[in-house]
Amino acid sequence: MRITNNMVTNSILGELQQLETQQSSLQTEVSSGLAVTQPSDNPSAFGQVVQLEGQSNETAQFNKNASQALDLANASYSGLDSLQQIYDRASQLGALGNGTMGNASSATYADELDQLIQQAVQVANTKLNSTYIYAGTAVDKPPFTTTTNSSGQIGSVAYVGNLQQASIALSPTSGVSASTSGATNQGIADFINNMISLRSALSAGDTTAISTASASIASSDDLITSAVAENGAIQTRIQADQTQQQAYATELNSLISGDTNADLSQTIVKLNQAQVAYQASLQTAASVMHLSLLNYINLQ
Amino acid sequence: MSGLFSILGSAATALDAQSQAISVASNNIANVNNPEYSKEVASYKTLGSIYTPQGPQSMGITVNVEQERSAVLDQMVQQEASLTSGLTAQQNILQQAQSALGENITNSSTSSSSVSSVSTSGLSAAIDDFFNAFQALAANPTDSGQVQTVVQQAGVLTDRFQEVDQNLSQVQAAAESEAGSDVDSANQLLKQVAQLNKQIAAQESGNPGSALALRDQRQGALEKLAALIPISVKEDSTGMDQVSTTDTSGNSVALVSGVTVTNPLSYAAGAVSAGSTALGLSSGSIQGELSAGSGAVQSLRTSLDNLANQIVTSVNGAYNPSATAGGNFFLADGTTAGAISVDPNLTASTLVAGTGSAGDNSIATAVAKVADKAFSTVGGDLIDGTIGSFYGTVVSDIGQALDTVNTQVTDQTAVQTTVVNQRQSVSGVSVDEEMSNLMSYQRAFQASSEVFQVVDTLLANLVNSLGTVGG
Repeated sequence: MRITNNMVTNSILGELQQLETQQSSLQTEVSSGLAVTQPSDNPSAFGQVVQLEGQSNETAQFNKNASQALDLANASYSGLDSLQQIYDRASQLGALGNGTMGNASSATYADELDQLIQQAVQVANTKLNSTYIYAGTAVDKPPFTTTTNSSGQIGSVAYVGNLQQASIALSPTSGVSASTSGATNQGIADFINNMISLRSALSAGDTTAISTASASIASSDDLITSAVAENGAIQTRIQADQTQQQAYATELNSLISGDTNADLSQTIVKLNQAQVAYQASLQTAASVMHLSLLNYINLQ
Repeated sequence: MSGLFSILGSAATALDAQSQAISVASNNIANVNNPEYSKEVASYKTLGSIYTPQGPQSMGITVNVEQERSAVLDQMVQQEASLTSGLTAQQNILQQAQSALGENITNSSTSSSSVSSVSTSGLSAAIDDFFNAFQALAANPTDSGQVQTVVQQAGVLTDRFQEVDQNLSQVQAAAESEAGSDVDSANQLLKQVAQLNKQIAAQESGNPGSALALRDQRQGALEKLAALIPISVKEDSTGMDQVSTTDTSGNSVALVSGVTVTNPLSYAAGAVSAGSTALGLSSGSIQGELSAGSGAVQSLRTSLDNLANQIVTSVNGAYNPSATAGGNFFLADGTTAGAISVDPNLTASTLVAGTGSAGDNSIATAVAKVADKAFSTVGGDLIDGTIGSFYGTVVSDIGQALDTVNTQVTDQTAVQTTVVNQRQSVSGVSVDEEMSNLMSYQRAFQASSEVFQVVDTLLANLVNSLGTVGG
């Protein structure tokens, strides 16, 4: 084949251009650590990453939801726990009141019970992040309202929340209701009302009424005890869910990395090869372009 | 003594011939870097001889100058130039479309973990953030901060949709305007070819193939034209090129006949016509621009419209299940990527997370669930798969289109380089060759000059010394 000057420059420029492009893309890969940065770099991997990234973001949100649910479950638990302690003391007072003779000492118990009743109402109206936690979904107003009797004490308690529960999503398909159920909330009101009955019985020194009221308190406490057990189950479930989500998030991240990350050792070897080729190309170009018959003939 | 004088005559033609050959070499060297130039060759021809009483006498020599040009290779270069520029134009537009979409993967390290993770940006991030904001609102329906976030993310989502759509429509508009200006350039080139045909015919009358520089120019113009539209070229007996292209059914349409542009090109509404005939372009930058704009870019826009429409319809359905007037989340009429917007009635104070009680999260949960719903066009939806997977396919489609064209451009450039080199091998100038020619022409010139010297000496001897014996 006859080789002409334009062919030499064309092919040298073409080669150099190609090697420079190759070097530049390999260099970008090494410096960013990513083999895919634009959709056209690897269309199917990029499409995959968009989806995985979406799932990863969603999982992160579910994880936040789970923390939120756990906070709520914890708050519910500590309230229920306080009510349990109140119950312990109230049942003691009931037993003591039943055993003592004389209005004076049972009136003292009634006074203490009155304090416990006020405390129970306060606990029942607990707020978390400015929402009432024992209110069903009517979280914006106090769920337990009280009436005051002639002696200025709490005369009765009514539950004015609702029986619904908000479910917090923990995955695309499952959710958890971290707050207490409507029945439990109603049970709290019953518990307090039973304490009020006990207080009246203690004030009156009526041992029959004290026995009845004590039995009622015990049965309404059963409901609170089972709510505490339920709460424990919910917390366990949320924690298990969080662990699973973290594992899933790690797996998603490794899938995304697998699709996008550059194999550094391979890329660096390729980059070195491209550099060697580029140098060789430059060197031969310099010597080939420099030489011609003109270097050797002397026309006279 | 007529012999000596006739030697002078033939030596004079030799000097003439050598200097003409030197001029050819000089012209070749001058054009060594001109890609349009075809190497010229000086070929010697004797002027014949006549019979005289002294025997046969040579009339000397003359030089013919010819171009080393191959019509087949010229045609191949034109075709390949046409294919390359068509693909390059597509590549350029798809590259712009991909940038307009704004999706790329970056390496980011989050503050919570030291491990670097990758994340995508653009519309995909906006869609994720929007549905996650609803998910967060569902977990905390009374949090006014969360309500604000939902309204904000909805604004980001609609803005991003509109922005991407506007960018893509600008890419399309730019492609169309480039096609329009390419048509103008093609018309100029057609005029130039017709003009050059006229000049070549005039200059070559009686001496075919002699208008060398004009032919180089015409070939250059034809190659520029081929880069714009596919052409086929046929030279007639007068040396004029007949240029034609093909219509939509593959029939030939004349563009230049002899000295006239028979059918000037025009561009309207995405189609190119020659005269009144619509053209079926298969290569060239005009075809590349039009096909990328109306093909991959348009289908990307259509997919985004469908996605926007599905989001508007499904979110409104979940947010306003009873279709109460004025109770929509997104404006019900804004069902394209360019028109999607939050309903004007919706503000942070009117946004609801549920029905009835403050703590109810049924609506927020329903909207958040739209992100995980699998749609199906068979079932009457606008998209297939979940919103995230559909968008992943959309992004991967445009990436695939660009990736394919990138590969095609690389392959086609290699083919074009081969063909161009093949032609250069025939028509190109080699400095080494010209220098060696120059040297032989110079030596021949010097030798012919020596002949003059010899004859001059002989004549001087003859004139001055003959008959002066003893004088």
